[in-house]
Order: sequence, then structure tokens, then C-alpha cells
Amino acid sequence: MLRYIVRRLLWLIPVIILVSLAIYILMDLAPGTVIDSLITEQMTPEDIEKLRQEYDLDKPVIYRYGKYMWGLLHGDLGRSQVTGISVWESFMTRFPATLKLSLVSVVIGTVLAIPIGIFAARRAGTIWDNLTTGFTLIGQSMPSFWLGLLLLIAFAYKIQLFPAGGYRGPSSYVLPAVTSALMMTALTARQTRSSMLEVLRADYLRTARAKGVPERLVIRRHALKNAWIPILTTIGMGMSRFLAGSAVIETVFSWPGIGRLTVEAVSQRDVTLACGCVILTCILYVIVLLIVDLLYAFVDPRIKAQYASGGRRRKVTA
Amino acid sequence: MTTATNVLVSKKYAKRSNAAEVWHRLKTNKGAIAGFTIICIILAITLYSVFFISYEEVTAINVQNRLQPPSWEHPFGTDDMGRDLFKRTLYGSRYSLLIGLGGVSISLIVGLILGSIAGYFGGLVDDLIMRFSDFLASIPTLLLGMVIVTVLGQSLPNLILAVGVTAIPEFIRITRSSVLVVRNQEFVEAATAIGMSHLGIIFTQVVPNGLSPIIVTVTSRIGAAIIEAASLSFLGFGIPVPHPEWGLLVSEGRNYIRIAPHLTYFPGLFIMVTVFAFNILGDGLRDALDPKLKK
Repeated sequence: MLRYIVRRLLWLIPVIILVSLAIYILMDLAPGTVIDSLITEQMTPEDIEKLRQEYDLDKPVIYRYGKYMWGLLHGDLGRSQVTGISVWESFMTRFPATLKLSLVSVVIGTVLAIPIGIFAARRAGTIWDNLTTGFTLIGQSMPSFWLGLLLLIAFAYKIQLFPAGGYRGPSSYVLPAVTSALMMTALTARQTRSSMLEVLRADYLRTARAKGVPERLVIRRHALKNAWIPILTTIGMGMSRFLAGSAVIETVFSWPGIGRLTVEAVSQRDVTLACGCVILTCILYVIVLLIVDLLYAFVDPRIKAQYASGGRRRKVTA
Repeated sequence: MTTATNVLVSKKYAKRSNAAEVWHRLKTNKGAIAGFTIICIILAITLYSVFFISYEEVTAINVQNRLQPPSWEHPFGTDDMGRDLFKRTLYGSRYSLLIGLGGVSISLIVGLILGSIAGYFGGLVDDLIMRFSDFLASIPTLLLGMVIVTVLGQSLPNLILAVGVTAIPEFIRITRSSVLVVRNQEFVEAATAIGMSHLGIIFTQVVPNGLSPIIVTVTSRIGAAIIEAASLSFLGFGIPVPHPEWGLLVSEGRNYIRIAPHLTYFPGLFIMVTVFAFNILGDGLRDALDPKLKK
């Protein structure tokens, strides 16, 4: 088990090197540089040249990247080229907001999705099933920013129940969390339904019922337990999607998280900050997927046995 | 559909060719028909807008008319520059369709080639391609899209490329796994025996026989690509203003969300309906191509 975790984490090293190389060089080649916004009309060409030297812009890309990588090797992500604050610090001041929002959303999303999925699976083929399937399909087809804006119009402007944005107190969590929870619910409920349906047809469920196990327990103990793996995968996907898409929800609700930080960094051509944000987000992404993978072992003893016997590990899929 | 009717259906049409049977199952799938109909309507709207709505018409500024609520004259109201939102929205359908189809074509072509090479040859090539795919997949899609658009500049082709690149790993993985299933079958061995080249075998024997999951992924990826492009536009990494791309329209409407919420409603609704159509068509296709998978 430990070996598996270590191997998965070691995989991060080539990813970080390649990601930093790709993002750094690409961002560097992009038209416009970070000093464009610092140049004022009063500046003489000498001043601009001085500024360029200060940012090493007079040297080749490779030099800047090498310098950056040297720092990275020592665990230093560098400083933001715009604010001068260290990348690690800027990221970490923003990270809690994203983390809290994502946890709240995942909890709400899962609590909603699993009962809905079970409900639909148990009534497969009926109007209720079709209705829930329809709703989840519609949910999957909505852009998250649009859903967020609709909720904002309804519950922050029309009925002034919740704040329209910002990050103050529990009530400010409601709208952004509900938005991303609903997006997650659509995905997870469908997955729950289909994996439950698969299990509900299994012979051992008939056996359980024949033994006289109450239906409630049949569902909870027997069916759900085997349906967990695909559901967990989807929840993990939901969580990683949240990280990837956090920029959108955070923009809609002016949420001071890492998604918006990245958007700001990329649009200001702040190469160091953008690169750092992408690297750190990638690490988070891989860790979330790893946690999901490890959760399988707790849910399914067969997988646990696989780890223990050192058998062929499953393919790493991100 | 229950198992019993499935058996009946397959008995009744046992003599049909595979394609005809798939077509029949697709025809009887209400979702697929609905999705297909909506897509046709959107195509019709796009064609109409190409012939009857000019770019000047949807970008000309008319400040006297600004921020009007929906009316007979302006069914969706007007925006902050007094432009008719109805026409702008109709005009915008072309972008989403182009992005959806173009983006998925890019990921399909690259994914198909790399995935089938990986699955067919195995070994070191397979490892290299899969590591590349894992690497690409470990960059969150929206971030990758943002960087690509920033580097290449804001334009329609670059947005299509950005959306296309982010879905490549998914297509590599799907193609590879269906190639793996087909590769060891006897007809592939037969093709090798009669001296066909590797490329010939891949594209005439292996790929066509592993096509079903790929077709399904294509259809549902179109919807995802449209949403992704709209999100990128919404964040300011899409097509530049004043092009009336749907995501951009929503983003512009957001500035007037208190006084003119209609600017947000309509373009978003169009995104949702379009994506919904592709999603249910994809679902229907999955059921039609592989009845066993029907859940």
C-alpha cells in the first residue's frame, strides 16, 4: 500500500517538471510581458531597459526558466512578478477559501446525489426515474457560471436572502456551494443510479431478500456497498472538476480562491505566479485522485487484497 | 426497456444488418430523436443567421436603444450598447457549433491516431503515449485552455484548438482500450496472415470494430466542449469582443445583472439547450450501439 502511494507521488515529479516547462516557456513566449503594465509614459528608454534587466527580460527564456527551476528544486516557487509576494504565500492565503468551498459542495452534492440515484434506480422505468434522469441531464448541460448567475439573480437580487458574493460568514457559502453542489449532483446521481441498477439485478440481492432481510438493509448493506466504487470515482471526479473549474464559480461569486488567483496571474502575464498556481493545482489534482483510489481499498476488500499481495497495480489514470 | 422486450426486439430483427439494427434502436429512442431534432433546429438557426444576419448588424452600436427589456421588436431585449440580443444570440450559434465540432475533431483525430498506435503496438510506444496522455490529463482542463489561448491570442481557431487539446487524453484512452479489445481477435490475425500492413490493419480492421465507444464519446464530448469554450469566454479567454459568442454574452450581461437580468437568461439558455441536445443524443447512441450497456 505504502509503496503504491509513494509510486503515485513520485509520478508527480515528471509531471511537475513537464508542466512547469510547458507553462513557463509558453507563457513566456506569449505576446506581452509582465512589465507592460508597469511602464508609464514618463519613463525614458533607459528606465524601461533597467526594468527589463530587473526582470531578466534581456536574457533568453532558458536563463529565466533555469533560474526558476533552480528555485523550484530548492522548494522555492519564486515571487509574484506583479506584487512581489512569494508565490507560496499568495497561493496559501487563497487556498483555504477554495478548500472550504469544495468540501462544503462535495458534502452537499453527495448527500443529495446518492438518495436521488437510489430513488431513481429503485423505480427504474417509471415516470419518477425519467423525471430524475431528465433533471440530471439538464444539470449536466448547464454551464456552471450560468446556473450561478441564475441563483444569484433569484436569491441575492430578487429575494435578498443571501449575499451576492464575497467571502464573509456562513451565508456567503450558500450560493456558490449550492451551485457547484448541483453540478456535482447531476453527475453523481446518474452514476449512482446506473451502478445501483447493475447491482440490483444481481443474484445475491435476490438471495438476501429471500433470506428475509428488510429492503432497507438490502439496499444499504448489500447493494450500495458494491455500488460504491463507481460512485466514489464520480465524487472524486467531481472534486477534481471543482478544482479545475473553480475559476468559474469563484469569478461569478467574487470568491477569493485559487481559481481566481490563477486567472488573474495568467491575464497579468505574471509568469511565476501563473506557473506556480498551475503546478500547485496539478499537485492537488493528483492528490485528490490518489485519495479516491485509496478509498477504494476501504470500500472494497478485494482491492485491498490486491495492494497487500503487491499484485499488478491498476493503471494510473488521471 | 426490460430484458424481455430486448430479447423480443433482437429476435424480431435478427436478420437485419448491424447498422440497420442500430438505426432502428436509435429511431425508437425518444431521447435520441429529441436530441437530433433540437440539433437540426439549431443548425437551421445557424444557417438562417449565416444568410440573413450580418456581422455589422449585430455589432453596430445604438446607444439610444440601450438595455431595453424584451419586447415584440426585440424579443430578448437589447444590451448595453443598444444591440438586439435576439439577433446576437442567433448569430452566436455558429461559434458554439464550430467550437463543439472543431474541438472534438481535433481531439478525435489526435486521440484516434495515438490511441490506436498505443493499443496496437503495445510495449514502449504504448508506455510513452500513455505517459504523455497522463501528463496532459493531470493539468486541469480549464487552466490548460487558459494558457493556450493566452499564448496564441484570443481568436476562434485558437479557442477551438484549446478546447480540442484538453480532450485529447480522453480519446487516447478510449481508442486504446477499444483497440486492445479488438486486437487479439481472429480476424486481425487473419489480416496479418494475408500480409496486410500495420497501418492497413489498424484503419480497416481494428478501428472500425472498436468504433462504438468512440462514437458515443464524440457526441457527449461535443456538449462538454461547448461548455468549456463558453466558460473560457466567460473568463475572458475566448473569442474577443464584440463577437456575440454565448459565453461572452453571458459575461457581458453579468455587468447589468441587477437592472437587466434578461441579458443573462437567454444566451445561457441557448448554451444549455444545445449541450442538452448533444448529451441526450449521445445517451441514445450509447443505448443503440450497445443495448447491453443500457442502464
